[in-house]
Amino acid sequence: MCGINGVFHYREGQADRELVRRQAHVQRHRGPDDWDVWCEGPVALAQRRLAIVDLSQAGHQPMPNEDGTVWVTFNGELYNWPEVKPQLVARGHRLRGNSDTEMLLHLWEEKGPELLGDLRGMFAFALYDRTQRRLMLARDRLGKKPLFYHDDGKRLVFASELKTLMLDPSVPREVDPQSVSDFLTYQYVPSPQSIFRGVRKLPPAHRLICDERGPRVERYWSLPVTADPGIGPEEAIARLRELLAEAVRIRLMSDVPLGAFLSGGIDSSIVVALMAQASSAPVKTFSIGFEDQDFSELQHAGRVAKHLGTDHHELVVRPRALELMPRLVWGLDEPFSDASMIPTFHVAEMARHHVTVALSGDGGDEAFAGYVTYPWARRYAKLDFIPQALRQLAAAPAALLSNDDSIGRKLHRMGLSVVDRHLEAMSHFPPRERVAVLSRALRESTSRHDPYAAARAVHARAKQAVGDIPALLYLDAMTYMTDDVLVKVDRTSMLSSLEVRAPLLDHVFLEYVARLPFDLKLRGDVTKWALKETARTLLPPEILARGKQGFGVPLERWFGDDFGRLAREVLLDRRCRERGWLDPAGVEKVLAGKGARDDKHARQVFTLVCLELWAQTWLDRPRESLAEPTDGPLPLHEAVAADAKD
Amino acid sequence: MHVAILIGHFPPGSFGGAEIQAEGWAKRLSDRHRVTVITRRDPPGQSEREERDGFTVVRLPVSKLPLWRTFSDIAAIGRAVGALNPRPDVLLCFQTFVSGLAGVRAGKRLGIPAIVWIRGEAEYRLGDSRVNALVSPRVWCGARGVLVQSEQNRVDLLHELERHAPARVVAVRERLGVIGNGLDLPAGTLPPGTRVLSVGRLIADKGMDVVIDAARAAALPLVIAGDGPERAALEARAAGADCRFEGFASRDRLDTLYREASVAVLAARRGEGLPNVLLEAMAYARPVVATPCAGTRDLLVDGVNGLVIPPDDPAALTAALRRLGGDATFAAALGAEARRTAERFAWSAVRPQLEAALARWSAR
Repeated sequence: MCGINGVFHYREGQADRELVRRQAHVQRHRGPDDWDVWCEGPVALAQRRLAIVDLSQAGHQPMPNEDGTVWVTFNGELYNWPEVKPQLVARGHRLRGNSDTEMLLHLWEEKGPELLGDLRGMFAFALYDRTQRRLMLARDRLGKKPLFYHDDGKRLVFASELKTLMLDPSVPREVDPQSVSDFLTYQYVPSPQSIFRGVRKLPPAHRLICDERGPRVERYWSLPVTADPGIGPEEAIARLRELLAEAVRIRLMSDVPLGAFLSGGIDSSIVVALMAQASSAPVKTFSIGFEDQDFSELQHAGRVAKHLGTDHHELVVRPRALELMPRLVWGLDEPFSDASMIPTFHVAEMARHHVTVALSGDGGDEAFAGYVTYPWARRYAKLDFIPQALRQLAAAPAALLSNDDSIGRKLHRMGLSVVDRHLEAMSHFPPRERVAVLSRALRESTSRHDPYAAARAVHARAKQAVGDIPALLYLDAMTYMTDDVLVKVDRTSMLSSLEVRAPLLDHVFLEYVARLPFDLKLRGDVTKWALKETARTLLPPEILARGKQGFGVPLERWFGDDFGRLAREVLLDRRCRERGWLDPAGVEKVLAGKGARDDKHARQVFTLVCLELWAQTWLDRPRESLAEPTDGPLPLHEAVAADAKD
Repeated sequence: MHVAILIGHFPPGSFGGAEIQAEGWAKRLSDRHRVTVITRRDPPGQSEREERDGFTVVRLPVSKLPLWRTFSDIAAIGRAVGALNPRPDVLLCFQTFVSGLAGVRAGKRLGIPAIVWIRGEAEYRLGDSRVNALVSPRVWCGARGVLVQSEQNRVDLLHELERHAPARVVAVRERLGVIGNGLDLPAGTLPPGTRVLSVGRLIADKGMDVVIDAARAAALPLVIAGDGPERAALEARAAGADCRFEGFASRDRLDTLYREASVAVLAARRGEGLPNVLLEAMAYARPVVATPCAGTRDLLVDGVNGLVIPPDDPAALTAALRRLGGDATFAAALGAEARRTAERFAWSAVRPQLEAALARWSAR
């Protein structure tokens, strides 16, 4: 895994090698092992390398092809490299070593931009062709590896992380009010927008090609949405097992120690089970638990580990979320308030003490309908035989009731379409509540912006092919998974320089899963039915029988008594009020919200706190400071502090 | 802010890059901060306490017993820090041994944050010495901040930790910063000189033998500035060639030598942090030829602001010298770009970086 960045003056001007070098070092956590900059005239490419495959200098980047006409800087892993390598040699390419990066150069020579279809894995890269004076940026199909860019009409700047991009003084540091509104809705800023105006995220499965005419962004792959009703349960299970075993096996390619996260849930357990089958030595597995046993999955993980005979490592942490926040707010780049970033950070950091690569079970919930929201959506949809106009009429009185009134909420939901109901359920601040907390200025500047519009369009495309409820899976995979789950996993693991690989997000596997009839995923009220059946012969029965660990993230316990204090300190502070994004009365109301112990209130408060902490970290400091999480000394969180003791 | 600089030796005296930098920092910081330098009375006969250039130097006596010396030094430094009035806000320790070790211990006892500034590869080659592997990572973890001179030093240090002290990687990475050496930029015009120049202590690590052989093969006049245990052997090796040994050169003398140089060479085999001599030559707009050890990688882009050669390769050095000697335009272009690179290290450019680090790490 690595960090990449660079610049291309496609109209005029010369690249500033020194600036690009300094930018590269901002994301040194992504690649502590090596670095370099290649610069020539209008273009500069830089790389920070975490050496995983081919540790020799032959894997050094940015890397040229045989005659130096093509250069690439690459972040990611290409798992079909062992398969493609002999083919390239047979076709007469001269390879310099055994690094998967070479695949990009030689496939470009053969196919140009179409090379992307041949890649299997996770990636974000920039490739420059000197003869064509053309730059291509590309991002993997699901968006596991990040890529931000800014185009000013003459020059394209890009980087794996936003902090790297923002070190360039010519990239505007101006917050987009629509993105603030989107963040409050979703707890993340959806692609392709970013929190800053003029800075964009290259969407997953897209490439950007830039020559003297400027940049063009195109999609090169889509997740299929047509289900094949002819696939029966037995065939599905046999094929899933085969494809997943392959997806796991190819992800064991590594020249450094490798392990797996094990939460005790079905997704990570099946990955570990298949790893155990594919490797001769015991798999190293990592779990964390919290001193608060209610939320500890350690016992389940321990049972799976014992069953599979893994070399299991456990860490019980007393979460000191307060000390972690500066690092996370800086590390996550954009405003982000999915509190599960806290345990993910901890487990990645622990794993890094033992391994450089870890496999995870991410993606299973989106592919196999693992979230409780799907059966819930289906129950609500039972009323949808009534035309929406009539339902809306019936739901009209809900507008008179408060947001906290449960009857009002139910009535309100009845009037919604399937997709809106789902979006509102997923939102931290649904429209009415968002408006109540935004300042007047921000309300006005975002009045024409509907945060749900883009999501509705994604849903509508899939709905035509598979129907309303199955299309929600597609929607979540394209939005929530890309911009929340994968961002969280990438940034938190990279903060510890750990590479995470997700076999359940292998695109060949997913293309097959997408073809499965919906009732093999959500069977009755059983979520992830097909995956559970696939795991039946691999895992202890009690793991299969376990329900989904809820969304409950014990924020208040993680922050201890500090959470309330932190929230009030941050949100009632003069700085926050003067920023003018939030309505002080609305904030007070959220803080005082009845049932402050209630999960949803805690999440809302956390979202507001994250927004303000983000602004303090990213806007209130001089630009050069963005290279570090804080201006003051960073509090050492417990795991590190324990290490540092003599 | 009261900054105490801890360092084993302090000018005047014939010392290396760390000592010269420590003096430079003491001078620069003392215009806005109170600065006290705690060092050893070595060579003996220096005054115990001295006020100059706006800062204070406290010199501690040195024991004659070899092993005992280390322990007595640590204790003496601790006492000296404790006796400072007003109490320092931060201890800036040059090198892990013994200043870093003593500073971290004293800092812990007195509640003063210590910053350890690693000054070269030798300090983190943990495989070379058991003591080093055992003690150094502990010292770094005990410090509030750890500094190295270049990004490549940082990368190499983390590699060494991965190999020899993996449990410390995270903790060290948390507090590891990079700040380059400060540099005086000479003013005025800098017409090209005529001699090949190599500056450094005359020890095997510096690769002066390679320089002598290559200059002879390229038939270019050579000046070697610096002194050390290898001098006699090197003089013998250079017999018959156009090679002048300057011995230890003062600042003023170095200024003349850089102006007279057509090219500067650093053929070090190992042991470098961010080589001052390379930075200085670049500040004089001299094209430089150097081996790619540690900090050199941050400085040099081969063929842009200098030439990079493999270590222990006289033939490659000969070829590089011939290339520069035969193409004055190319040499001048490298020199001009070198000067631009050097400007990044002007005191005015690096000073804010250290001040920010001191503020960051001394905050309570």
